[in-house]
Amino acid sequence: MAKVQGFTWTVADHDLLSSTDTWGDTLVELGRRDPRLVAVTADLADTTKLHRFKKEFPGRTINVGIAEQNLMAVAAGLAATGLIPIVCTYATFASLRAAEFVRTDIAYNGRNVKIIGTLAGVAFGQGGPTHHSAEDLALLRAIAGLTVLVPSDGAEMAEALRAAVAIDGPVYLRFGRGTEPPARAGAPFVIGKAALLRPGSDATVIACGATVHPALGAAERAAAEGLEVRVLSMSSLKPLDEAAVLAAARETRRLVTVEDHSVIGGLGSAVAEVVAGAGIACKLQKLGHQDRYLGMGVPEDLMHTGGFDEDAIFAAVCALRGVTPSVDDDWEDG
Amino acid sequence: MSPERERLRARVFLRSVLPLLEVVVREQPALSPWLYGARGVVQLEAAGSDLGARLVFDKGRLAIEPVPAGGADLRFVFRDVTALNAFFAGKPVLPRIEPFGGLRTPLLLARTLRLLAALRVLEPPAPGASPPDAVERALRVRLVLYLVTRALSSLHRDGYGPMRELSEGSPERVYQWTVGGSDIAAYLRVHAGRVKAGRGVYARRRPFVHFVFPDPDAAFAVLMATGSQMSGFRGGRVQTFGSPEYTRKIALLMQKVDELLMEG
Repeated sequence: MAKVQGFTWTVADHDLLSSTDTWGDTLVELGRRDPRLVAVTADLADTTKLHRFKKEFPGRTINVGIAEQNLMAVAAGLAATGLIPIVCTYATFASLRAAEFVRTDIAYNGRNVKIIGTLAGVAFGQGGPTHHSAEDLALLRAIAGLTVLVPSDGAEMAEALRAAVAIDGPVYLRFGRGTEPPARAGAPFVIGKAALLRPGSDATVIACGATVHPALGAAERAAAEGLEVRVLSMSSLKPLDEAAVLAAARETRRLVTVEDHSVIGGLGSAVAEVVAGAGIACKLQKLGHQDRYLGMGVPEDLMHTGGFDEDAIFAAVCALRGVTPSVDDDWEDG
Repeated sequence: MSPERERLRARVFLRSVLPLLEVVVREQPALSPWLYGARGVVQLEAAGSDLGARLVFDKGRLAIEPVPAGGADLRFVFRDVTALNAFFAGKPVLPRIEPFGGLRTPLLLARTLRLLAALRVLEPPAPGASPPDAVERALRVRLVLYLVTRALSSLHRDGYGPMRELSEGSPERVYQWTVGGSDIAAYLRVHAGRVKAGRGVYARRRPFVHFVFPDPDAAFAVLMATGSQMSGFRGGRVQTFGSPEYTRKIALLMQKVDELLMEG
């Protein structure tokens, strides 16, 4: 009788788990092209992918220690000399802890600094609420002169970084883990433009960052229920693609915004401001952190708990259209 | 090995390995003559237990029922659960064949022995033997993916702790394995304490964790561990999409299945 051959393998190296985690390499590539690029970190080079840049350009990498306010001030000074500092730290520290320095030293002076906030939202779920970042978009979107980008997957992070370096002025790039499944399927990244990832006229889901892939999954499931759901990836939160938002509001009349961020002050608020300002009557449901802390856990579990995963988006769309989704209740092994 | 673990292991063999016979028969045309006109029920069982399975031959078709029942035409009775497991693990264990050593149903006995022998395709190649050809490599990949998903479902049904942990309170999630350049695919669907192993691609929702092998040879190299454990990732022979934490959990559970089947 058969003896089953061993068929397993061990997953031990996080870095190898995804082919999408490419922005660290992109930074190296940009550094080779432009000697003005310097990396600045607050003791997080290894956990923010800056270590690849540091390895190739040790003389162009500065570690200010665990001092995020100083991090922003040093970056502003470097930019004043004509360099292009790439600042990298966790999103929560880049925003909450260093907000005044981002505003006064960088944005107010129009310094050409690119601030990368990694592990945004609940991407560092195991770190708990102290390391979650549910307020960074609200804080930084309000700072005049600061461009705010929220790419959805590893490939788009790389594109967003290139786009940010290509413009003269301060930019905040909100990154996740880099292990997000590919979501944009080659849609071009343009600052100020939303990407139409799926057409539809029954409702529109407007997503950013780690919620774009779940939004697409929800739209696919909605299609199976007879609903054609438009999906917009709003990777450029500021400037916002107001035309795309207004078209969605006019043409579908039902909007769902979804973000790994508080529903106060982020993508949902930005969309609401545009729609209300134009006087368009439509239903709007904002999914995201509902003004509460989500505790500690695996990011995908926290997204479920927080009500902004694929299931929640699908349920919101169905509810807006009054559709009761079908259920697959077959649990017999196939 | 504790009696509980022996029973756990036996159920994995009976629910996950034995049903692969249906696939082997379908994928290996040379076995078709052995089913021609076949009719009858063969039961494998461990004496003194409720563990067993039935091979149901009907009009030239074979179906595996992973539970024993009465009324078999032929019975393979192992002296206990340990012996049954040893048989499936490839050890020289002979069951008692009833009635009359199968002499009254010689054709059914011959068919059964030939088909059970076909499961040897799961065995590692003998030292020095030539490697399996492309068709057999693809078959092995298909069998292993079906096996592991069924085994994980079986472990869940038996209350195996780590599988229960994965399923209890879980949102609906699909763990998917696909092999490019082929129709080989399997999935494990999990939701709130329920688990289903399925063949093919689950169509109603996107995978929560997706293992993607570019082709059957890459899958063979990874799943049959012909390369080093991480070389599959480094060499691009497998990509994973989805939660890294749950990818790791599933990979470790696959390893547990492997250990369970290989021990003893």
